[in-house]
Amino acid sequence: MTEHVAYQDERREELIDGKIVAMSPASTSHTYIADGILSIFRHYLRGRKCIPFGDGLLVHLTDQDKFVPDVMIVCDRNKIGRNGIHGAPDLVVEVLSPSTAKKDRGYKKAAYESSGVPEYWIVNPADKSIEVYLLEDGRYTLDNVYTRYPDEDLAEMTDEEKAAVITEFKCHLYDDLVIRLDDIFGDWF
Amino acid sequence: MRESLAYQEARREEWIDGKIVAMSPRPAFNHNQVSYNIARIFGNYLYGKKCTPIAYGMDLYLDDDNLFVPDFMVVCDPEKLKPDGVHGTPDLVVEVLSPSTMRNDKTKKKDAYARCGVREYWLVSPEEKSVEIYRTNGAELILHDIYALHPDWQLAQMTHEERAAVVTHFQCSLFPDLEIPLADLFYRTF
Repeated sequence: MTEHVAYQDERREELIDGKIVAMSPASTSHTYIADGILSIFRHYLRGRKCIPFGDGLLVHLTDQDKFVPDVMIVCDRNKIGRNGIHGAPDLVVEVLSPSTAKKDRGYKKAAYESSGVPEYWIVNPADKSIEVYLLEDGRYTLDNVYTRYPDEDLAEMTDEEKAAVITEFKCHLYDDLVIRLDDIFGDWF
Repeated sequence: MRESLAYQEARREEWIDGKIVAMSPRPAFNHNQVSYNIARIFGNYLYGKKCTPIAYGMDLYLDDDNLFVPDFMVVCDPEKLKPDGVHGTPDLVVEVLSPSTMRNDKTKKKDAYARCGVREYWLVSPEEKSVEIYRTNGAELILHDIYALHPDWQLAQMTHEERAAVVTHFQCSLFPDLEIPLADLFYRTF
């Protein structure tokens, strides 16, 4: 299977705790969600100082840790080099898949934390949820968890319950960027 | 208030950090099956042993401000078991995630369980077919590991070595001789 040329071409690597780790193939929902988040940032950041990047770009955090986040925003243009980002992005998004969940919640989260990434999202395609971690005094605290409710759950709710459901949120960088869960999770899967 | 709720057929409210919180609507099929599977796995294992497995529906009087109804718990001190529920800290708590409860399960409830000394805490996602295991370090519940049932399409794309490295069983720190197959946890789910 790995000998297959087309497959091998797609195979990419990260450096995690000094060890080279092959990246796993992404599922349809993973790709769709990461693209959705990137396009929200792209649209909003056009002509602004900060730059959004999608999957494929290496972030050189330390000599031991070079990751490829699913989506990130970088505001300091001096960090942007020809071979990737050097230093901590201002926001990092990791979209979970079964084989990466442990790293995204464990080692990588700790590495982003100690490198000073101010905001970290863990996006779960299966649950349609986004956990937002904010750096406070050098440590991540879970600021909130946003969930796109399934239509069947919404159908069973009263109007008051429906009104209380959170459908959009903001990141720490911009007060006027409203991020709608529907724009990220869509309604087709 | 609590007294009047105690004798209702099924509790519809919990107390979280001193505030009354309405419980979510009827759980989805996957949620129900996963809760049932966990109760069955521990129920079989603990039959005739000291610790008691407690399925969904039982009140947990954690402290003055927190009255929860966990999806599953194990209590090893029989003194904590009373006719109206569990009074004190369980040894293991499992919360099965659903859209409306996820936030509290990951924040306020997790903090309360950590503060009260729950030894192990599981967050099970029936949709992702994963379980996050947190263990106490005495003060906090620290992420120990995450196990996920890999979908067939992903297994098919792996090399033999990668497939051999996929974890299919895991353990609970309370019962080191109980090997829990992930497939059993998510048996009969969509």
